[in-house]
Amino acid sequence: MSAHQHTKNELDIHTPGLPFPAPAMPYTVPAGYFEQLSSTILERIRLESDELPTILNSLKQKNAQQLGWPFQTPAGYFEQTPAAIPTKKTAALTPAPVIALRKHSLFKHAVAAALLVAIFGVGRWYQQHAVPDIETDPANWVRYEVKKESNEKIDNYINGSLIESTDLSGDHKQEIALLTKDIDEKEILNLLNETDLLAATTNESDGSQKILN
Amino acid sequence: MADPSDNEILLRFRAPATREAAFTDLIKKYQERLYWHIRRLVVTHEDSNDLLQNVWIRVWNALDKFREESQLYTWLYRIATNECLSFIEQQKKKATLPLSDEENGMERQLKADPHFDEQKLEWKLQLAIQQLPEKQRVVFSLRYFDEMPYEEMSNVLDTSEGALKASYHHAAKKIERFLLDH
Repeated sequence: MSAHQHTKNELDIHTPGLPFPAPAMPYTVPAGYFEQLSSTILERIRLESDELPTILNSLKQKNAQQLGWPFQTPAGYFEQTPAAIPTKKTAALTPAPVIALRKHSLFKHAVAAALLVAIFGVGRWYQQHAVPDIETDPANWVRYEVKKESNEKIDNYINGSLIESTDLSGDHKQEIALLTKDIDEKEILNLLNETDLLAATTNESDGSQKILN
Repeated sequence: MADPSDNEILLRFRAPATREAAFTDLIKKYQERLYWHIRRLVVTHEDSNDLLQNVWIRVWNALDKFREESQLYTWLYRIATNECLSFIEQQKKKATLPLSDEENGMERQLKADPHFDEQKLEWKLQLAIQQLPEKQRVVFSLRYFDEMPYEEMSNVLDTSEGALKASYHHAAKKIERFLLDH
């Protein structure tokens, strides 16, 4: 069976939707392309295989000082180059200083770690010592202010505040006397007893008297 | 006048006096087949021309070492295919913009052809071929357009006949589906 028939059978069985023989190629080729192709290629081959080495060779031998040659080399450069190469080679063989990159890397890591610890430490200290704002964070402000005072001072304040509050000035005494002038003393004592106020003031020898006077 | 045989060309090529004439005959004998094989893979004439010239220069440099274990034309196809695949790979690497799945670089070049007509079957077929992965594109092209037997394709692509049959079958199915859908 021919290759053509084989390909056709294969398509008929598996992919009958594909046209066969294949439709013509829709691409275009410049006029005369195939007629000229072989000469174009041979020209390129000649240039690459024959002319190019000749050109390179002539360039190599060209005197650097020749007129019309755009680049210049120092006089006698090519004559001295072979002699200079062994010196260069020796210099190249001298071992170059080895820089321990690992060491630097460890040092850098240590510095970075120390910086991180310092940053976190400062942040934490600031968080703990910063004065809270009374308007935005009143609860913390109270806590902060209370922390500043000693326990003894706070105890004294709590124990004495009520007594101090009953240490009335002359104006208040007059006002109270005016308000209570029509009220029976017994009634006042009863009220004080009922509201436990008397108990709080009896620490003073003349508790109720103090209020009433 | 009938084309000279491959053996005759090779003999003349080995003699320095007839070397260039033999090579001209070789080019004339295979230039169109190789050109269309390359063109189907790289789409534009400019790229095809560059690649074809590179192929012939490689052939010139290596023809002396050609051992007649395989046929000359499968050897030529092998060089041309490798040249195309390297070129496509280079193009992919050069592409700075990410190409969408729907439209690859070759497809864009195909649509940029002044004669492009999506309604015509021959263009639709070329568009369908561009949807295939490179290796499948080569297998399909060699089998469908060049009607190359699997045994020879195996020499060109260094792949087993079974793998080539499977690859061609997949490619043909994809193209059939594309033609039915578009």
